[in-house]
Amino acid sequence: MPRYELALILKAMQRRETAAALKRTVEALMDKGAIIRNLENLGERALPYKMSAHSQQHWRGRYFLVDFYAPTTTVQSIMEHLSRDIDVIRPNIVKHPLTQEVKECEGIIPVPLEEKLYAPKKRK
Amino acid sequence: MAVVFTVCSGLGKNNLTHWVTAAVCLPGPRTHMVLWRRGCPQCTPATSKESLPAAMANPSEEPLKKCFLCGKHVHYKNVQLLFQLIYPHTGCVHGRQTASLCGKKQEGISKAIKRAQIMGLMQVMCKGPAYLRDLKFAT
Repeated sequence: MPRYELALILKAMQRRETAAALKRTVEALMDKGAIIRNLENLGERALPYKMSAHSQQHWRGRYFLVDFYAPTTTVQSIMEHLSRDIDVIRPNIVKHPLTQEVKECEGIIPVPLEEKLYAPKKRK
Repeated sequence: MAVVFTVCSGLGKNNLTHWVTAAVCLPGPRTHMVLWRRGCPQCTPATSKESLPAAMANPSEEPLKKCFLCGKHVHYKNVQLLFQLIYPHTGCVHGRQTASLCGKKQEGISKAIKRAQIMGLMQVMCKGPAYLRDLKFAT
């Protein structure tokens, strides 16, 4: 199963309610057949811009990062479920960046700027 | 006027072609030597293949200069790096020459910036207030 990362932004709530929302989310993930690997808390902070979700505006939020393995077919249903949750401001599932290999870079290819400057005009 | 003239005919049972090898030398006071030679496969050519220069890459060529992100992974999560590669007043991404990045990393950076902005990790029109005092490296 490929590895995914869920960047979750929850509403700024009390500790108890945040815990309940998280528990709900993780249980939903596990019900759909995902295997949770890691859960990171990036803290509560001001959102970069005003976000509106479920007919409410938010300026502050709690950031969480969920590392999980899931079958490819269930990703869409997970996203639908998260978008229906009222406490979730913005869910985003992406392929885990650590699974992507770092390809070898050849280097900066020098661009012949003088040629470009004096190049003949392209005619259609 | 010295004329050197050699003829060699193509050998073969039904081969009637004649290949002519001629070297015409005209050593006048001001004329330079004119050599015209049409070789035949059976004759021994004057220069053998071993003595001709072999085609190879330039050995004194230096390897291409690497950008500062070559070999490193570009994450959408390290917002500090991404903020350093945008103009603070508009939020536009730096071009390839100003950022001095190679093609692949420049694409990776622009994708990571877009991703971070949409996922709610990065400001769009300006630089995050926590990172405004960072050192500028790309002017």
